[in-house]
Amino acid sequence: MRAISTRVIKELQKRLGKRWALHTPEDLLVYEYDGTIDRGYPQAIVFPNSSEDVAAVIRIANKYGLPVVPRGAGTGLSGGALAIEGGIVIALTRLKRILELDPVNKLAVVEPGVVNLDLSKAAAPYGLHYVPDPSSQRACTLGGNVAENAGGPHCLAYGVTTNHVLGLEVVLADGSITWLGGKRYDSVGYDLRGAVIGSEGTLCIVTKIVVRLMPIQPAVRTLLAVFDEVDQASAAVSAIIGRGIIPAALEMMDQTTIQAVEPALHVGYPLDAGAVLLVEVDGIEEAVVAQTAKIEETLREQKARQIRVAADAAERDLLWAGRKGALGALGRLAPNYYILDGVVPRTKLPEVLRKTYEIGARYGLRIANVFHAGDGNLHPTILFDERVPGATKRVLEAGGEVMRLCVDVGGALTGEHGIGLEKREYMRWVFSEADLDAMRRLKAAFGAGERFNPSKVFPTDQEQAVVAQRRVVEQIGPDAYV
Amino acid sequence: MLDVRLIEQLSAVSGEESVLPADTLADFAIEGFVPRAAIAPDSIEQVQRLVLFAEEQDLALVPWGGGTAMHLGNTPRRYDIALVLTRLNRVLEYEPADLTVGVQAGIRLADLQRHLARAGQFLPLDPPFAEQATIGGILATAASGPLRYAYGAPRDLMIGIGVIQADGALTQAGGRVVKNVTGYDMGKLHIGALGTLGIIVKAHFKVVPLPATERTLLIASRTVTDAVSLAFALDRANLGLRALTVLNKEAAAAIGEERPLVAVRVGGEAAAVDAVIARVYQLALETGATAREIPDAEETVWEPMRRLGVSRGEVGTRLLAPYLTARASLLPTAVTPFIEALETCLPTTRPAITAIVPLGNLTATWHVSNPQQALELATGLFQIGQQQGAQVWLEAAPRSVKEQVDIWGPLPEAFPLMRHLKAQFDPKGRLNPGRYVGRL
Repeated sequence: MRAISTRVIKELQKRLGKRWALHTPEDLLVYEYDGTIDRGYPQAIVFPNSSEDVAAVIRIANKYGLPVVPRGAGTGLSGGALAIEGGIVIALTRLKRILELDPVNKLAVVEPGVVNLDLSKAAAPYGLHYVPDPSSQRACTLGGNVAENAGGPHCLAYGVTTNHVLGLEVVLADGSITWLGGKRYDSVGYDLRGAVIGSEGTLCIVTKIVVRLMPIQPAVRTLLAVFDEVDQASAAVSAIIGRGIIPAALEMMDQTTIQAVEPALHVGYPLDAGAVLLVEVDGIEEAVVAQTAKIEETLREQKARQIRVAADAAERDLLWAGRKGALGALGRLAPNYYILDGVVPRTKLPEVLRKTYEIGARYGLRIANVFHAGDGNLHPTILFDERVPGATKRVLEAGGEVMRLCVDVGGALTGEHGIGLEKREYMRWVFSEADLDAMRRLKAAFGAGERFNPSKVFPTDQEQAVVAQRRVVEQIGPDAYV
Repeated sequence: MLDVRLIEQLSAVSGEESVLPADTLADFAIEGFVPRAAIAPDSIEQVQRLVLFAEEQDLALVPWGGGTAMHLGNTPRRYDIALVLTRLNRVLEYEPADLTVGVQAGIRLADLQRHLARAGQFLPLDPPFAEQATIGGILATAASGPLRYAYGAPRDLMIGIGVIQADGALTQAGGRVVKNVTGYDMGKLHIGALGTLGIIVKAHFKVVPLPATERTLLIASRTVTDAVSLAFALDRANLGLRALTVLNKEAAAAIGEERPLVAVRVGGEAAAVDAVIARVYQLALETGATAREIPDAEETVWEPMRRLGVSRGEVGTRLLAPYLTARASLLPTAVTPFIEALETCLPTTRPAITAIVPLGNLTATWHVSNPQQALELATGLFQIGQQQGAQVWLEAAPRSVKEQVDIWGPLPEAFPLMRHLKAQFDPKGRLNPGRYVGRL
């Protein structure tokens, strides 16, 4: 990648201060990565400290014809924060202030660099929390959550990021700053806030977020159910929903995942179980008691061989640690892994799981399944060793087949991780040229052109089924998440 | 005067039986503006052909559903064809175990609810006139009712959409599953957009189980301020209520009650419902309010309440002349002073006001009999909104008001972006032109 001209660096440094505009290879190295293993090569990275700083950077980028790429914590799983066309990475991490926390009106105004879990921690003393809870919440930022319309296990009953954001202050491609929505639930005019959420940094840069805070429910029950077969667990998921219960969370892990998690975290998962279900209900005490009883009954009918109800907060935390630490634990089973993100209608879960294992078998690859069973959002994780010749190629092909399977049964290409770089070529599996054209018109309305996060979301002009990009997943370590 | 040539052309495009009789054209008038033709296609392909024809002939289209909210919006700048979508009324896909449903946009809400009820489920949206209102119209006006408190607005329930663009192309976004971040969330743009970016022809939604049992309580307070405080207390108690609406004295009178009210819906398993009702009674007692349970509440309380801002039992644009209905969105803590300002802004007439306090969502209706008073009221309301930090717009107003003020209020900050968006999707301004914000 071409080094950036010194004139640009000088202007950036003049505006932000020398230490907040970096350009040397050593400095840029760290910012080539995100949660995947694709790489991007930024020409500069800047750390603005205000919305006006962000606007100034964009105006400088415009002047020199450089693209910009917003970056939060770099935990994204679809290549969203990678500067694959070079340009200036705008890291929002200095913008990490909680500007207002209003417990009576149940909202907060935050900067995009605020870490997801930190917001809930700040709201906790008021009996409130921020609902969308991706497993990466100890590290990921709210700005990134907005870009990807992030979900999390508790989104089944309560919704995803777009249902919890009331307003966005954004910087547009021409460097102007404007609010979309605000502190009120309704505003007049087109729902541009709704269109920006999930737009993966391609329309504008978010510099403030107004979020809804929800009460921490008075009562909660967490159950763990153990099954001999994955099919039984999937059937149990449908049965619970069929009984008119929408749990606050409903997660599933298969045997491969259990065998990785248990030795690492000692939750109490039997190593020979086919699958475990983690079910959580919340609300008022009487409702929770009634629902728990119904769920236990349903689980027994579905042949759960063991049902455990967490006796206290500590046990509840342990059960959840097992789920949220699953990906990090999988790193013990193989040096490399590739996480997929797809959604299928719940009723198709048993079929899709079975076929996913078949795909794995055909390619000689081990696939672990850990996912948000309640909303059909799967994360098959392919385990492998990149040093084995041809392994990576097989992994990508197998991954493509699994995604194709999700789409073929009426599902979606991505439930939470976004299209980014990873799946842009698959967009034509689900969208016609007219559909993509409508999206391009939205982009044109924002005047974003190819200036904001280029080469993301939209397919390139090359027609293809599976792109064998040179991608290898490296070991992320015990702090990884999915 | 009948436009014979146009009608011939339209018959050729989508079939003679889709052209509605000339004597019905007056039914499709908007603010006195009568279209040249009204047409009711029966398939998405026919809609596409019609929209393409309109593009070729430079004709302005206004989409129609059940006609229950056509009073919303500014006066039309152009109006050639009423595009009636009520024949597109099929359920396309429904799998109860998936808790999702896909429908054509012309299906009536009540018909959809009956279909879902057979599997013990429902779409948790309750705008007024469910027997007439269509899904497409509900989406295009972002309509909701008291259940918004627990279940959210249309934007929170829709998971996929199909739209015919101004050039006749069918475009889809979202899908059939509840988690989906594939591409841009285009569906959000069309919700509340009055069809100005495209004609909605189908949509997919999340649905939820019907509660095992349901009960309604009306709690009478001394003053509306007390009622608002009680609403806060009930909300803070985290009881999982389905609806929590405050009615001022005038609104209460409209449903046959004497004092300001908090209306509450409780649903779920019987044991849980009993426990919640007991707590509601207790909280009411603590504030000196009196609670009582109402049987048949859907007919006697909730539907009349939903209809307060619209009419006294009729549907359509003709009867709204004497009414001015304002909607407001504000911070919950700003509700009490705002209600006070509304109740006193006209010396001779007090409005009927309902509010979902924890959402800062409010509707106020005045019966105004002369145009001058209506205009003063309208401008006064926008001023109050600006002073008190509330977003105010007029949901219904006499034509004379609409001709002089933009019923959507002051232009939003992001209006330039909205204008660009409209220019991208409807460059010739033929989809419901003039009705939307800034007379887009």
